[in-house]
Amino acid sequence: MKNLFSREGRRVSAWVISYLLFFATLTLAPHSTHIVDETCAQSTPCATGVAKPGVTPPNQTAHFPAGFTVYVTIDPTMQPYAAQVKAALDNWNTANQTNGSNIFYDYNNAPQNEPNGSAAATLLVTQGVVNVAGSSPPTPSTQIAAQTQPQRTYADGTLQSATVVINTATLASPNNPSSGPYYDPTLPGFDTIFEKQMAHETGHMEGLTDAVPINQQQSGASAMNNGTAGCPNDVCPTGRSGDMTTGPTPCDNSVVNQVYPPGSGGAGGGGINPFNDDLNSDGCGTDSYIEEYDYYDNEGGYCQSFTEVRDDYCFGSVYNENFFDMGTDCSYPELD
Amino acid sequence: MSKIALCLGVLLLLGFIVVQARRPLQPTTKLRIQKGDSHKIVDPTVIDDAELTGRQKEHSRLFKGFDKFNDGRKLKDMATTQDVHLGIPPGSYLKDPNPDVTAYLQKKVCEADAVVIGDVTAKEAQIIEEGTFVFTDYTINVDQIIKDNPKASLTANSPIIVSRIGGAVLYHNHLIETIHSEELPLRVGRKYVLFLSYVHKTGAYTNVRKDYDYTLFFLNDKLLQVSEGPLPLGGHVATDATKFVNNLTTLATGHCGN
Repeated sequence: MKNLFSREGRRVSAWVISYLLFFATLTLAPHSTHIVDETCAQSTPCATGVAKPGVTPPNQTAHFPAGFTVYVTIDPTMQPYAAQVKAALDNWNTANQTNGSNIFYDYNNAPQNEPNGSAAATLLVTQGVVNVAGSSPPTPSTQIAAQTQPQRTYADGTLQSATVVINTATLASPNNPSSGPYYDPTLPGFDTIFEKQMAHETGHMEGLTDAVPINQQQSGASAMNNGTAGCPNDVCPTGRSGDMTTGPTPCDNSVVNQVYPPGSGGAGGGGINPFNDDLNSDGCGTDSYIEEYDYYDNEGGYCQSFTEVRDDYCFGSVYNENFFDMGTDCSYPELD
Repeated sequence: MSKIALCLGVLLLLGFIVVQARRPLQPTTKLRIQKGDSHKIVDPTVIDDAELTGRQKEHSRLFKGFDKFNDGRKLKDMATTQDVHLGIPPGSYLKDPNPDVTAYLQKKVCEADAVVIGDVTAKEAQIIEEGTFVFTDYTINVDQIIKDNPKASLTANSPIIVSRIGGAVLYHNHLIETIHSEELPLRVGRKYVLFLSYVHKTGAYTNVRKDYDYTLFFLNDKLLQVSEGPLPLGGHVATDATKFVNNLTTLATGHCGN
C-alpha cells in the first residue's frame, strides 16, 4: 500500500480513478434517462393509468371536464345505499380540491348549466344487469361488478353525462353459478361495498383505468383496484378485507393530476387531449408517434415497458424495449 | 505497476462495452409518447356516404345493445361539424386470486367454433345499422389452425374475415371513433390468437362473446391479452408464446362434452 503514495502509485491511482469515473458516468447517466417515473403511473401497484378524453382504449375513455360540477342522481334502486354512494363522492370531492380535477359531485341540487354556458354534467347511479358487450342474445355478465356507461360527451370529447350501473348479476365467484351473489346483504362488507364500487367507478370518470396488472394489485393502494372472486362484498371468507378502497389514494390523486394538469382546472378544459397530438411529420404523408405499453412478464417476474414507433400509414415499426424491476410503490427501480 | 494499470484499463473497457451492448436502443426522433395506447386506431376507413354492403349489414346485426350508447344519437349527425370519439371503459371485473387457467382455456376452446393464429392484413370499418357505433371487418391470414371449424374447414395461409365491434371511420373529413374496452380493435400488421364464432350467413367469423374478449396478441416471443379481463393472462401481462400455444393446441385435442 505504501507504493500507492509513491509517484508511480499516484499515477496509477489517477488512472484507475479516471477510468472508474469515466465508466460510472457513461454507465449510469443514460439509465437515468429511462422513463421510470412515467411507468409508475401505469404499472403495479398504484397503476391507475391515465385515461384520456374520448376513447382509444384500454385507458382512454372520456372523463368529466376539470372544474365542472357533476349533478348526481341516485335512482330509486340505489336509494337504500345512497349513503354509501354519497360517502364515496364526498371522498372524491375532498381529493378533487387538491388533485387538479377541481370537479365537484353535487347530489343535492338539480342540474344547472356551467357558468361558462356549457350544459350541465350529469351522473346517474343505478342498479341493473350489465350484459356482455355485444352478446346476442344479451348475456348477463357475472364477472363485471359495476360499469360506467358514458351517455354523452361535450364537443371536445370530455364526458357530459354517464351512468354507473351496479351489476346485480355479479356472482361471488363468476365462473361458479352456485357461488351466490357478489353483493350479499347477509355477509360482512355489505355496508361498504357500494361505497367501494362507487369510488372505483368515479375514478374512471376522472380518467383513471383499472390498476394493472389486475392480479398484481396491492390491497388498499388504489381505488382502481378490483374486487376479488370468492370475496363477496370485498370481504374474503377468511375475514380478510379485499383490495378495494372507499376513496382515492395519494397514488390515484397523482395520476388524476396527470389527467388534469395545471391550467386545466376550472376552465372547463378536459386536461390531456389525445386527439390534439403534437406529432412530427415522418415523411410518410402522415404523422408518427411513439406508444408505450407496460406489462408484467410472467416468466421473468419483472415489469417491461414496450415502446413502439409507429408510422400511421406506412406500418413501419421500430421496436424498443426497456426493462423495469417490480417496485413496491410508485417508483420503479431498474432491473440491471 | 503499468501492467496492472493496463489490465485494469482493459477490464474496465470490456465492462463498459458489455454494459453499452445491453443498453436498449433509444428512439432517435423526439416524438409524442402515447401511454398505454397499444390499440390506437391509426387508419380509419373512409366511408363518406357509402352504404353498407350485404355482408356488412349481416355483420352489423351481430352486435346487440350498441344502439343505446350516446343517448342513441346517430354518429353521422354528430360528425357533421366535428370529430366524434366515443369510448366505453372496462367494467369493474372481479379478479381471481387462484385461477385455474387450464380449465378456463379448455372451456374457451370448446366455446369457440375455431381457434386460429393469424396476421391482420387489412380492415374495413363501417357504422352499424342503428347508426350509433362502429364495427370493423378484419382480413386475417391464418397462420396456424389450433381448432378447426367443423362446419367449414379452415385452410392455413388463407384469409378469413373476422368482424368485431369498434373501430374508426372517416366521414366527410371527420373522424368517428368508437371503442368498447371489452372488445378492443385489432391492428393491421399484428399477429393474434383468436377464439372465433362462425357466422353462417357470410362465412365469416366474429369474436366469441361469453364474458369478455380473450384475444391475445404477439409481441416478439411473448403473448399478451388484448382486453383488461382477468383471464387467461389479465391485461398487461406477458407470457411465453410458444408454451402457451403448445398448451392451447393440446387443449384443442381434448373433449368438450355434449
